[in-house]
Amino acid sequence: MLQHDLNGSLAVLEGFLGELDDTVLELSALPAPVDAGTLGRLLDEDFRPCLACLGTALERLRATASRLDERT
Amino acid sequence: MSGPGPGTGPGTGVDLVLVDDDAIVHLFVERLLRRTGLRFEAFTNPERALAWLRTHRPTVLVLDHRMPRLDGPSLLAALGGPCHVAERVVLCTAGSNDPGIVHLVGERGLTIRNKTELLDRGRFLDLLGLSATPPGTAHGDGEPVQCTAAPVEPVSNRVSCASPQISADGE
Repeated sequence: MLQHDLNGSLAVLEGFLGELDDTVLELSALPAPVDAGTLGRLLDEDFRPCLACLGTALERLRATASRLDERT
Repeated sequence: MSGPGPGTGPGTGVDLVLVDDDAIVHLFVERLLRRTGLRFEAFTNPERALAWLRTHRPTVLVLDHRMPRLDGPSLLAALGGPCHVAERVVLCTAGSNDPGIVHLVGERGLTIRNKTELLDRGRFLDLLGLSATPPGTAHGDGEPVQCTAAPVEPVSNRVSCASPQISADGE
């Protein structure tokens, strides 16, 4: 179960980090200046959701680490 | 692969069904699919998924191994085996070392030991044997995904997502 929890959280972290990487690449490829609408879309549809999910995965890892501490 | 089994057979209109008690995985998969035009159903409750799969047959079923109340292998067994469930079954085995687990998914199926293999944009569709259709050919295309910051535990039956293209738990 512990391995399942750890792997699940790590997979989510890796996955959403990859999504953020892709969004940064998309942003960096846009011609300057980037218009506010495009920037807003990237923030609302990509950066914020990905960061929120990364935060959730991090909380889970903390919870799993706490369980490990309790065992030792 | 044998006949269509108890479902309504190919043509039910669903390309991918995800059964995983982790709602955050649903959000990720939805992100990957949102511009593909592929049709997607998601279940965090395996019992509801079982009921839905009795009358539907998707192209691909992605199934978590460890889930509360009903695990992936038990769900497959309840439906008569992988060939009766979907064209292709992908089972996330969560690092299980059971050598017999590969037989659970059938000849065309696939086992994934680590979800990292699944949650990769570059590999996702290839891994599932699905190809994307051009954007705009399916419902819900391009709709924004809203991943809430709310904790996803305890596991709920509904994905915390406002996007309309996910019909969580068949609703």
